Amino acid sequence: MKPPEPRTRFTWETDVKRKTKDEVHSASRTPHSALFSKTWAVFRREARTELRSRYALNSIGMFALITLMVVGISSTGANVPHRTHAGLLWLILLFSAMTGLARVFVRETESRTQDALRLTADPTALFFGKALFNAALLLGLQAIVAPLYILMTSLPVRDFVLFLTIQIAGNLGLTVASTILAALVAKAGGRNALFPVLALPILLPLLMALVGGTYAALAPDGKIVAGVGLVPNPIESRQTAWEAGATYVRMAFAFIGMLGPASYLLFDFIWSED
Amino acid sequence: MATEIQTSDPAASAARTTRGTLPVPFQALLFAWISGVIYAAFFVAPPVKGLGPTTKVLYFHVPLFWVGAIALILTGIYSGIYLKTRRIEWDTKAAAAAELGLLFCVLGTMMGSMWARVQWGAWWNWDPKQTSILMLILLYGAYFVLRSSIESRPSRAALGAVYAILAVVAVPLLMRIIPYYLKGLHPNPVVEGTIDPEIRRMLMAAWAGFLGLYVWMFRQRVAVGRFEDQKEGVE
Repeated sequence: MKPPEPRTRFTWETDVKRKTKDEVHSASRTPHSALFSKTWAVFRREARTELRSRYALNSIGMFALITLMVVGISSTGANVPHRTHAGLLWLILLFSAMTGLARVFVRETESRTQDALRLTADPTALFFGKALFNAALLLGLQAIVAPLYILMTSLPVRDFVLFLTIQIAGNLGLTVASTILAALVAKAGGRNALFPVLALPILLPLLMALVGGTYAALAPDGKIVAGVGLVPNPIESRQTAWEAGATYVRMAFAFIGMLGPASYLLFDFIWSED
Repeated sequence: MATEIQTSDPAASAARTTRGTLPVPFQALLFAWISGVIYAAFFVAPPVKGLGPTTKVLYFHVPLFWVGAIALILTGIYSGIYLKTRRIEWDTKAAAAAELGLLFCVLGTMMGSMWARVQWGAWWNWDPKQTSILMLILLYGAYFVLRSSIESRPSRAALGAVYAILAVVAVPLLMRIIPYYLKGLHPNPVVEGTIDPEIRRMLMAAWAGFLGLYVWMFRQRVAVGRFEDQKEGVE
């Protein structure tokens, strides 16, 4: 068969093929590095494709900024309880994510590249590469929304370490759930509207943990309430942030720990489905 | 080639009609048992301290949820078996289990809501157990939305199975790990240890009755599902 013509534009398939040949002949490379390089190749391809059209970036960005504005406008001067602030922050992040995270797989269905992908790509590398891209997308979103939210509402964060931990846990949890569900939605006809319907029930326990943890990281506002969502223990003003928030951090990481392996294991079943 | 339903062989079609339903003596026993449970709940069982005359709800609300939770875990198990064997009957069973599980959970929630109105003053309190059951109901609603959006039967089965397994992974999180931290309005586990043995016996009897009800309805539903699959030529 005639070898493919040399292309002037970078395509990840040729990049991966080149690397594979190297691995075969190079004794110093371990099998794991093959997975890393393939994953990285998938990630780079996603990044390039996204930067080309900027569809997901635009939709996520605009949604986030608009909701942020609405929240900012409606809460200036108002005595909004801190727990509500925590909920609003995660509302913005979650719904922004819902508009854009399914894109990694749904795009393959729309542009009909999924057959080529199924033929050439290692499913594991594909899964991790796309998950990595989703995580990066979310990270970008959080890096913009969270500081803006704090500035707009003058949120009194008393423990930034806890706040950041919760943001990281949120990033990982949302990524883990949304990547597998994006694949599911892409296979189920590629309708973007199905993605939030499927994702939100699964994300609910995570969300409660995130809101609770964020609330614990904020200065107490004198309103001692029963805990957040599924955890009823009240967050009291005399507790330190970590004392109050540890339960929620644990819950969030429990979610990641359970859904992460499950989604990795189930991906094959989706990907090999016609 | 699609199998056609043979109407010419009466014995075989009679066998097909009754296959999957409970034998009549068992149905009669089930009927009697449930009638007994209802009667006992209303007239015989002693009231739990602090709950007074609303204790009756206990014998319906709690077993409904137990059976509902079991049904939902069964959905996950059947889905797993489907993914392993790729036999469509397991997907039929998974869907049937999910439907019944959803029904039982919704009924249990309605009863719980009525009870909450009387005991705790509001129809809905965002008590952790209430919240986790609501999540469960949403999960299974999403499962049915997913199933209805896929045309091809084998795809529907496989993708539905994946979602069901994901949901089942989330379920122990909701039902066990999180309520572990729980000190909400809900009373501590009523069955484990501290309560009147007579009440516990009644609760077990009610649970057995509802389990029997579930098994009966499940078998009916699976039989119907099997007919539908045969008609579509899938089986």
